[in-house]
Amino acid sequence: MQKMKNEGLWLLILLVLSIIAFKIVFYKESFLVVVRVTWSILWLFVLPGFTVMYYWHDKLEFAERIVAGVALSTALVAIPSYYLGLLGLNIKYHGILLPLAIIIIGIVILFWCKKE
Amino acid sequence: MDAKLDFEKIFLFLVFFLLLWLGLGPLWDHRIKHDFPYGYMASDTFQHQIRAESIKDAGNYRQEAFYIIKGFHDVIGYYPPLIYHIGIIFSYLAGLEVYDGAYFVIFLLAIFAVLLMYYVIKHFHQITAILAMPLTILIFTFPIYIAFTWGHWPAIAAGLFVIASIWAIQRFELNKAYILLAVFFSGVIYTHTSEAIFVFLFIFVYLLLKFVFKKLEWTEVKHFLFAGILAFIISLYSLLIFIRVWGVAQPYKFSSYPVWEGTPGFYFSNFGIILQIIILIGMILALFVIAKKNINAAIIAGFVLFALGFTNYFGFSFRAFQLRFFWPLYLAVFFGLVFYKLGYELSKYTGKKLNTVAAIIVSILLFSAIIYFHYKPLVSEGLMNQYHWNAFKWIEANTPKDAKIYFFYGDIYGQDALLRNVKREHYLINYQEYFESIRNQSIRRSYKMKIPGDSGAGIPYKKGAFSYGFHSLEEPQEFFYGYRDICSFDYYVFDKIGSQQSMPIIQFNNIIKNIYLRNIWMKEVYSNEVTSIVRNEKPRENCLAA
Repeated sequence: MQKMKNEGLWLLILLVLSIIAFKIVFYKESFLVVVRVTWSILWLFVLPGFTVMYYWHDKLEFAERIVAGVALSTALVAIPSYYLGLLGLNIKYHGILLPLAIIIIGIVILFWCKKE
Repeated sequence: MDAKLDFEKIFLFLVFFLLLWLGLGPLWDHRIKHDFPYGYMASDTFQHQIRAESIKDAGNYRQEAFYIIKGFHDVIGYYPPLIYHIGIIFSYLAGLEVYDGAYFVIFLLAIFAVLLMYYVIKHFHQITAILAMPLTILIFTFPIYIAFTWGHWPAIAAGLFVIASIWAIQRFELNKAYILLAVFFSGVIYTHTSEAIFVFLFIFVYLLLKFVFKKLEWTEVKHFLFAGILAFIISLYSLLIFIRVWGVAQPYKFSSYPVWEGTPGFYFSNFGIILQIIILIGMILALFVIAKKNINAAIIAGFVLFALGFTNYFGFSFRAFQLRFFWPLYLAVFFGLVFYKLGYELSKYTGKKLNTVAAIIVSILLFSAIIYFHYKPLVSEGLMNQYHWNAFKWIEANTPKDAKIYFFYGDIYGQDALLRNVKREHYLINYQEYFESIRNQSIRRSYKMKIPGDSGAGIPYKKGAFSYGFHSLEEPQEFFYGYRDICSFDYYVFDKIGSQQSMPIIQFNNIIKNIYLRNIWMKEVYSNEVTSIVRNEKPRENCLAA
């Protein structure tokens, strides 16, 4: 639990640093746009994969889980999104629903495995 | 967290920042939001943008939008969907237009591919990984940079999943890690299916080497089998479309393809003589590593993906050139190995071991050198401009859905995927015929034209549960490229300005426009500094008689 808290803090630090980095790179852009874009990256590309990767937290370090988690998030969001669209759920809802579902599933798996 | 790890994290964050700056900063004029598709340099870039746009409009990718596939209304969504879906979702979340959001995602995935490559190489050796990073900057230098600006987006995004697959293979000791490989391999299939063949070949060589060096364990083989079965199940529908649609429309033909026509391909010589030598020395050092029975996926991938980059000569045509976009990442391990070896030899004399901090300092110096010699910022708004964009958006907002739009000559219309942004059935005059007309100073009612659109997959439609028909095979060629009466369209787009060479053509545009406007049923309904749109209220009436 303490590790989770620590890593949550690191994620927050990473978010702040990323906002600063994005504001420097896109210095002509408004601060609010930069914050929203950076938060969206965290929500869509980092958190889902990172949560699922937590399953291997004792073998994979924090930064590695974030980086590999981006590839995992991309696949885990985009592939189901394609099929949900085919099934009739409009893509405009996927950005909230899919990352949320993956994060919840990741947490459930984690606690389930811990119990076992 | 110890100090060593912190330095590594800071280094990786700096690499991320540097890549973001070099890759997207100048090209996007250091802004995230743009008023029109910005930094789009070729037709294919617009092809992806407009497909993403159409999926957003429809809410799903069941079908292709009719304005993408030459006016047909029953065509299935046949392109690997991953980059579109992730681009649209990101656009919604970030409050960006699709043309910004989808493009941004491609850069983001490429940058994370670099960072993931770091961990792939780190699994082999950490110092080598730090020293390998500077080579990766080359993905944002010419000619690889055109992969972004000319729209080879699926190949770039698939590159991330190729590297992720290598990463997952290295972590097979983790419990259930085959699931990761299955997801990443599926990611390749859903992004750019042809890349899956390269991953498959890499796995084959990797397993073969392990077998030869007696390092292959049955558990590992089992994990590969599980991953394969799982990936097959996840990708079943996509594979079905690939085989039944792409496989039929573009059946495999063996060909030798030394030059990528129409595209500046990346060749080994593009590394420049110094980097070439360093990479080759690195390869020799890597062979010694393999000889010591160290079968690491980072090194094997470097060799295999380098070799597969030459398969354009042996049947993989331009797909091999697309693989080369990521050569700076795949070959980075050899680059890092040389500098590690140098540092190692040097440490024998100095007595000081090459540690993380020293490696980071050397890496920063190498970054600086490569940027200095290879990087030139590309600053350009691209093909699109505010005036054309406004005209296209006017058509989308103000014309009936079934309106037929006819484009006369415009400097940028040759890259015809951008015309799809009118989101209407559209036609483009055949330039050759038009130029001939200008030479003869004659205007005819009938000109050759083309219906711009994507026909690479044969314009497939569903015939049965697993069978598809192809409009491009069933319709006569005249339908797509034949003669049409220039009085039979609902709207006409005339460009008013062009380059110096095209001014006579633009003047001819103006002559035709003025003839049109002599008819009371034809009116100019939109005009700006660059473009004029004329509405025809009586299609098929003789519009040249007045």
